[in-house]
Amino acid sequence: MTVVEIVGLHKEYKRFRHEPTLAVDGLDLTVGEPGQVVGFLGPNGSGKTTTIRCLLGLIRPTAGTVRLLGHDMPHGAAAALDRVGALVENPKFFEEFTGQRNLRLLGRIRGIKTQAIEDILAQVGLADAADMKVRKYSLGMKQRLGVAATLLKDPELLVLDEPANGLDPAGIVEMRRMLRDLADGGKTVFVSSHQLGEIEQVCDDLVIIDHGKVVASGSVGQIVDASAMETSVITIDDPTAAIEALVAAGYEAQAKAKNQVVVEPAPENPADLTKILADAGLYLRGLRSEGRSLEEVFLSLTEGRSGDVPS
Amino acid sequence: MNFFRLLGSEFERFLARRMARALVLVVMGIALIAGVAVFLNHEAENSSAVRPAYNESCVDETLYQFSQENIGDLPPEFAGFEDLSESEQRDLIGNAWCQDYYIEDRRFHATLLLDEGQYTDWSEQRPVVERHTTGAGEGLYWGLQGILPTIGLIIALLTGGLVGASFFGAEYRFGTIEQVLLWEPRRHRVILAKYLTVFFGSALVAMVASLSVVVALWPSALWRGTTEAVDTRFWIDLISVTGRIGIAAGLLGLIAGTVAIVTRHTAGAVMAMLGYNIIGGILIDLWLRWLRPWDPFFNLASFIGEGDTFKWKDVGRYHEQVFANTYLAAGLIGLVFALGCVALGTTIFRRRDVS
Repeated sequence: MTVVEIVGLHKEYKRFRHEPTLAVDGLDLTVGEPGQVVGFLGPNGSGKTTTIRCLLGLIRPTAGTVRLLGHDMPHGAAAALDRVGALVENPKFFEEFTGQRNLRLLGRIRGIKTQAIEDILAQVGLADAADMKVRKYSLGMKQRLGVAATLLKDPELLVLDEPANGLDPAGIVEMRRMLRDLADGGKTVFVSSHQLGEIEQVCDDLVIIDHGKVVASGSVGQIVDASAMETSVITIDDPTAAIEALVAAGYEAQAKAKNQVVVEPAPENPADLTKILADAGLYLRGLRSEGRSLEEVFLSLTEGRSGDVPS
Repeated sequence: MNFFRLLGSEFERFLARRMARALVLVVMGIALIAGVAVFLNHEAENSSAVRPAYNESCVDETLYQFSQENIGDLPPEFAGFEDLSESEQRDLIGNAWCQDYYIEDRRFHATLLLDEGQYTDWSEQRPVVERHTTGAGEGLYWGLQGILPTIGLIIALLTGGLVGASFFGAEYRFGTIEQVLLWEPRRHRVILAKYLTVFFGSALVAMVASLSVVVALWPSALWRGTTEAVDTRFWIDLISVTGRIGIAAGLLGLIAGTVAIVTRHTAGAVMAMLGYNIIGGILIDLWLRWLRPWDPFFNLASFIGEGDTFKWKDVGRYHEQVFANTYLAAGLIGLVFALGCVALGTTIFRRRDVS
């Protein structure tokens, strides 16, 4: 059974006296294998949260179909969401209630026992803060409480929107470990995050979207390899003259750091570069090849929109 | 999934809300201050108890004037006045001039809680008011005009309006409605549970607030007034007025909750309710008189006080108030209005995106 299947999803927001805003524009997305961590990346405003809301039946698509755990959404939400734990954007709780009370209010809807709530709070490291009002929680603690709420149903699928938001480095490592453990235990985790490094470490598959469309999907290795263009980095005394010579020879060359020029894409034979520069009376001090990181791939796929990329 | 679990969860949210508790505390505080003020401004002695002292004072004053001035022509019964003994003179003056001396009753009457007259007969033989005549003016029965029926609509508006608006408004303000829908995506169930919670919650808060007014004023009746005429019928009326305040608060809670669903904002809903109450009332009285019998607040006020509602009737160059509906029909109009709001709120809630 396909965990998530989205075909041709369109979502247009209509606002009184405003032009409609197209948030998602024909998005196709499939998460097939259970027991995976799937990363969902995209700049701010790319349509991630709208897609997640459509997936969970919180908003109705303008066009397209959404199937969650084999159920059409939003009509099959009651059956599907029984098996889904979700955290959308920031955790939403009553600030004047304690963490435990907030979870108890949710758990009561499904008759979840107090002991189970205490166990979940301990699992996310909030046992000591269970009786503290949520307004006194730090952002990281609220995030943990949000994750606790998603785990309370013992779901097959977890949909987490920026779960590491506000966590300290130790918390991020702990969260990463928890997501991996959940996937290893057979649960599917669909996680959106701006922490590209974290996503790279924990995800089996990635989906990158921009302007409401999927621009890349597959495993982290596949995406980086597919977009990988190695670059050559030259160290030279006169970078300006070197750039002129290389551009005249048909290469894309730009100044990088002091006395460094980057050539993209790298030529198949680096000796071509040494010959062009030598012919111009320029001599290299150094030449090396560099691959591209997921962050660079992400930036190139999303036209450098930095919304979700850490500064 | 059990609907009653969802309902229980909603009730727990409701009862834990600071707004509901704060409102009860505010009403209790106001009632306590009013109770103390009423206590201090009333006297325990009734008019018949203080009458001898008043009579003595009246006779002393009259005798003093007789001794200082020319008495002039006295009424026939005063013939031979100067020949009478002092005690006979005092009796004569007392009986002739001091018996009708009006002495204000400074006692607090418990019956004031339900009706305005201090001398209202609350016994089983109290006059039965002729109701539901369709004649102009005097044919209308205005209902109970005491403290509780008079402030009943204010209590109902405060509790139902504020509690209903804030209960729905807070869900949108904190975004918790999203969390609830991830646990119970059947929106008709969620909205039904919320409306039921608002109705019964508002009613409960309003009744507690109303009874706190009674409790705050009761010591004045016991120690600075009287509980005479407090009989079975009084208690039945008190309970039914309190119950009707609760029902009105519940219905106003449903209306306010719907406005909060439409505006997605507590303050927006409260402003809309207050705006309607003030501006709507003025507009109706000035230009939309035909709307008067259908004004929900007006009908709920009549429902609480057990009085008739009226409509305006053109009589030549002026208008007369004539009978429109009984208090039960007025309550029914309030109910229909609230159910209309519930239908609208449910439709919007089910169809609208949650984002």
